[in-house]
Amino acid sequence: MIMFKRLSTKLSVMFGGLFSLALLVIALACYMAVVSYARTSVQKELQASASVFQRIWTLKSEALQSNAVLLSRDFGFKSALATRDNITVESAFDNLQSRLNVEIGLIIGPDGNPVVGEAGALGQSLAAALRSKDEFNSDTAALTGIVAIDSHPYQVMAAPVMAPDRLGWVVFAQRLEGPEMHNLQGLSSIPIKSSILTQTRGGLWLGPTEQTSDYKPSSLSFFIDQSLHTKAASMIGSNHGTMIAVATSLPNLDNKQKSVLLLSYPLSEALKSYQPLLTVLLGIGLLGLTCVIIASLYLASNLTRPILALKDAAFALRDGKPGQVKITTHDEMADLASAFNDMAVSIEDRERDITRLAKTDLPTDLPNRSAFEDHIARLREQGVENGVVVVCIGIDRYAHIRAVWGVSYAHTLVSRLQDILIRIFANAYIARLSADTLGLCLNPCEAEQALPLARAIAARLDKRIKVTDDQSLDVLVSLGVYHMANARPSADEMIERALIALDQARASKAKIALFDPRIYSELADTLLLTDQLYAALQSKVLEVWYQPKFSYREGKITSVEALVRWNHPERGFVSPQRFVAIAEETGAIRDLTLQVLQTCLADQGRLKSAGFNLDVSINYSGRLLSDEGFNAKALALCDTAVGQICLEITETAVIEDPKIGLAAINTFVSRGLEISIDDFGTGLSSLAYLKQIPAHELKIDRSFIMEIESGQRDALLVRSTIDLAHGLGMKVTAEGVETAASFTLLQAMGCDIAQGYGIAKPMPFGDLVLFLNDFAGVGATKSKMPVYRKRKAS
Amino acid sequence: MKYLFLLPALLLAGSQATAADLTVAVSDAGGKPVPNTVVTWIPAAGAAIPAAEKGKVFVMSQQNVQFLPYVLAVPAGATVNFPNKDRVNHHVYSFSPVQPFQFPLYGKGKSHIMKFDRPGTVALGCNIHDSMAAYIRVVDTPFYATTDGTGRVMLKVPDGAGSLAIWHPGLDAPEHQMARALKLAGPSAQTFSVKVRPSAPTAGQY
Repeated sequence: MIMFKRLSTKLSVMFGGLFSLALLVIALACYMAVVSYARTSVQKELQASASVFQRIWTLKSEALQSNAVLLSRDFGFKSALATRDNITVESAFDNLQSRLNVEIGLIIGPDGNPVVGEAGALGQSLAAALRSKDEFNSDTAALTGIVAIDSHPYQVMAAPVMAPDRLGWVVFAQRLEGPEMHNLQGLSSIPIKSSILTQTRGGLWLGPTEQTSDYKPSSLSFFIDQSLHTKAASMIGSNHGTMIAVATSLPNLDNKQKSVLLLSYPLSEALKSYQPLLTVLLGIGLLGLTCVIIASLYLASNLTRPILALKDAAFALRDGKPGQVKITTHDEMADLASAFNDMAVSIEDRERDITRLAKTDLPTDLPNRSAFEDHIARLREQGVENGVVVVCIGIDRYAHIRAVWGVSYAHTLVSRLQDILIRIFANAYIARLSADTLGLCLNPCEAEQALPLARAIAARLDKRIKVTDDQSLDVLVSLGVYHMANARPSADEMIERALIALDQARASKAKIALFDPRIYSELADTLLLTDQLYAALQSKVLEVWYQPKFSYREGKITSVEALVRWNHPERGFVSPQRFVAIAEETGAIRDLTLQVLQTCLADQGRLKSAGFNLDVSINYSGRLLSDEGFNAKALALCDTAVGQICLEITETAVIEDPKIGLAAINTFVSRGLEISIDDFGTGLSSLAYLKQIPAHELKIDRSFIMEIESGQRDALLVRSTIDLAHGLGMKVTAEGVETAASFTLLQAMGCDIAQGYGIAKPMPFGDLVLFLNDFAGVGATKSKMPVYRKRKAS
Repeated sequence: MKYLFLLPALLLAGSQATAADLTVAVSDAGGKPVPNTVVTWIPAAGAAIPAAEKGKVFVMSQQNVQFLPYVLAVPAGATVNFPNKDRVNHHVYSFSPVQPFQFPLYGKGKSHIMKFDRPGTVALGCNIHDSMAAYIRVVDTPFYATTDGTGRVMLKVPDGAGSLAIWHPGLDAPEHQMARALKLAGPSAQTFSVKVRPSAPTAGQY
C-alpha cells in the first residue's frame, strides 16, 4: 500500500486514478470494438472473395472442361487415338487448343504417357497424377483440380477418352500465378492479395516465391493449418505489418497433394477508414482525462482545506497559542471546526484554572513558591545587573498560633502580613513559600541595601498586629536574606539560599541572617562526609585510640577510655564530634560502636597478655539504648571480654528516654558491665534520674575541671558533686585534668580518677603499651602529677 | 440360356472316360457372388477346339439400348451375331487391338456377323450411345464357361495337369485375369475370392 503524506494527494490520486482507469477501459473497449469490427468486415470480405474465387474458377474450368470432354467423346478422335494415328490426334488437338486459346494442354495415350502437347516435366507430372486415377471410377468422367509443380500451382482440367474402356486423357492446364491471380484480385471490392500454396511432403505450405516471401515459412504454415481448422480469418504477421488472412482448401487433381487459397489483406488498410474515429475517441479521452484530473485536484483541495486549517489550529493549541478555526461553510467540517473551537476555548479555560491552582496558595490567594520561582526566573531573563534581593520571612511560633487560634486565623494572619508588606514595598513580589514563611523579592536592589531592607521589614512586622476586627496578636518574625547580582544560582537555588539564611538566623537566635556561603558549603560537605563515613566503616579504616585514666587510690593507670579516630586520606583527622554526630544522625552509630567494641575487646586481650589488666571504657550513644536488638548484640560481645568493660553514657540520652534507657542499663549492670555517666553537669540534670541510674561512675565534665583552679564556685560544685557521687555509691572521674594544680586539688577533693592531657593524650594502641611500660616506673610517687611526655601520634 | 453354354462340356465329358467335375465359385471380398466371370481350363496337354464348338451360334444383341449379354465367351474361330432388337439405330464398334471393327448405323431387325479368330478381349461400344458397353472374351480352349448370378460354374474336364483361369472386365489384376495351376484327379471344387471394380460406365454425359 502506498502511503501518501498528504490527504489531498491521496484523494487526487484516488479520484483521478479511478476515473482515468475507467476512461482507459472505455477507450480500450472502443478501440477493441473498432478493430474487431474492422476485422470482422474484412473477414467477411475475405470469405466472400474466397467464394467468388471458387465460383469464377468453376465457371472458367467448366468451359475448358466441356471442350476437353467434347474432344474426348469425338468418335474420330477416339478412333485416331485407339489406332495410334498420332498425326490425326495432334491436328485435332491443335485445332481445339487454338480455338480455346489455352496455353498448356496435352493428350495422354492408352499407355498413360503424353502423346501430343506438353511433353516436358509438367506433362510428365500431369500424366503421373492421372495414371493413379481409377480407370473404372465413373466419377472420373471429367476432372478438375490443382496440380503444383515445384510449388507453382496449375489449374488442371482432364477429360478421359472412353471407348468404352479408357483410352487416354484430354488435359488442359493454366498457371495460377501472375496475371490470373491479379484478375481475381480485381474482382474484390477491397485490394485483397491472393495466392495459392501447396503442402510439401514435410508439411510446410509453399507457394510461388513472389507471393509468399513476405511471410516466415514456419509461421505461415502454422497459420494455414489453424485457418483450415477454424475456417475463419485471423491475424498473421508479415514484412508489411499485420495481415488479416484466411485460407480455404482447394480441390487437387492428385489426392496426395493439398492446396489452399490464401487471401490476405493488411490490417492497417482495414483500420485506415476508422482512423478519424479513433483520433476523435483519443481526443475525447484526453480531454476527459484532463477534466477529471483538474476536478480531482479541485475537489481534493476543497475537502482538505478545512482539515489543514484544523491541523494548524491543533498545532497552535499544542504550542499553547490560541487555536481558533475560521468557519466558512455549513457542512460536517463546519460542525467539526465549531466543536474544535469550543474544545480549544474550554482547554484554555481549564489550563488557566490549572495554572492558577498550581501557582496560588489557595487559603490566602497569594502566589505560592512555584509562582515565586517563576517571578525570579522572569527577572533573571530580563537581567539582574542591578541586583535582586530575596527575603524569606519566617513567622515564629506559627505552629503554636495555628494550634491555639485555628487554621483560618493563621491564614488570615499571613494575609495581614502580606498587606503590610505590600503597603511598604509597592513594587515587591510577595509569595507564601510555606505555611509559616513569606517570600519577598525586590528588584533592583543594591547589595548594601539588603540588610537595611530586612531590618525595615522586621521593624514593621514585629508588632502587635490586628488580625481580625476584635483580635490582635504579637508577631515575631525571623528573616533570611539572599542578595544576588550577576550570579549563577537558579531561581530555585536563590529561594533555597534565602530559606537557609532564615534557618541560620533561627539557629543562631538572630533576628536577621544573610546567607552565609561558608555554612552552606559545610552542609554540602557534611553530605559528602556521610558518604565517606559509610565507606570508612565498610573498609574498617576507623582506628581506636586510648586515653589512660589514672587512679589516685592505686597510684597507677587502671583503665583507658576508647576514643574513635578517623584519619581520612585527604581530610586528615576528622573531628570526632563531627563524624560521630553524623553517625548518630544517620544510624551509622551502630556499625561504629560495634567496630569500636570489637577492637577494644581484642586490644584488651593483647594488653592482658602484655601484663596490663586494664578496664576499658567505651562511649555508648544514648540513642542506642533504645535499640533492644543492638543492646543484646553488644552484650553478647562484652561477655567475651577478658577484663572489665565500662559503658560511658551521656546523661542527656538517658534523660531523653528514661524508661527504655533505664531498663537497658539495668540489664547491662546485671550482666557485669559497669555504667558511667559521661559529661556530667552539662545536660539537664535531674537528681531523680541520677538516683535511679545504677551507675558505677560519674564523669565530671571538663568545663568544670578547667575552671577549678580559678573559680571558687566551680571548685565547690566539683567537691559537692564528688561527695554526692560517693554518697550514691559511685566513683568519680575528673575529665580535662591538664595541670599539676588541678591534679593535686582533685586528689584533695577525694576524686577517684583523673583523665586528661595532664596525664596523657589519647594514643594509638602501639603507643599505649610503650606508655604503660614507661609509666610503671613513675607510678611510685603517688601524690605527684605524672610526668607528661609528649608523644607523637603515629 | 446358361445351360446352352454348358452343353459343349457335357458333350465332351461323355466322350472321354476319365473326366472330372471342376466346380468353380467366384466371390468378391464381401462374399457376394461375382457373375459374368469367364472361367477357362487349359490342360497342360493341350486341347483342340472341336469344329462343332466353333460352329455354334453366338449372339451379342442390342436391346433396350444395352448390349446383351454383358460378357460373352466364345472359342477362337467362332462367329458372333450382332442383331439390333431396338427401334433405334446402333453403331457398334471396337477399338480393341485383338479385332477392331465397326458396323455403321443399322436399324431394327438388321444384324451383322463377325468371326473372332484371335483369342483376347474385344471391348464393344456404340458410337451414338456412350452408355452401351460389352465384352467378348475369345478363348483358346474347349473348356470354358461364364458364371451366373450365383457366381458358380461347373466344367467337365479331363484329369491331369492344367491351368484354371478366370477373367472379368472389372477384375483388379493384370489383364483382368487370374490363373492357378492344378493337377486334377477326380472332381474338384475351386473358389476364387477376388476384388472386382464396379461395372464399366453405364451412363455418360450425353
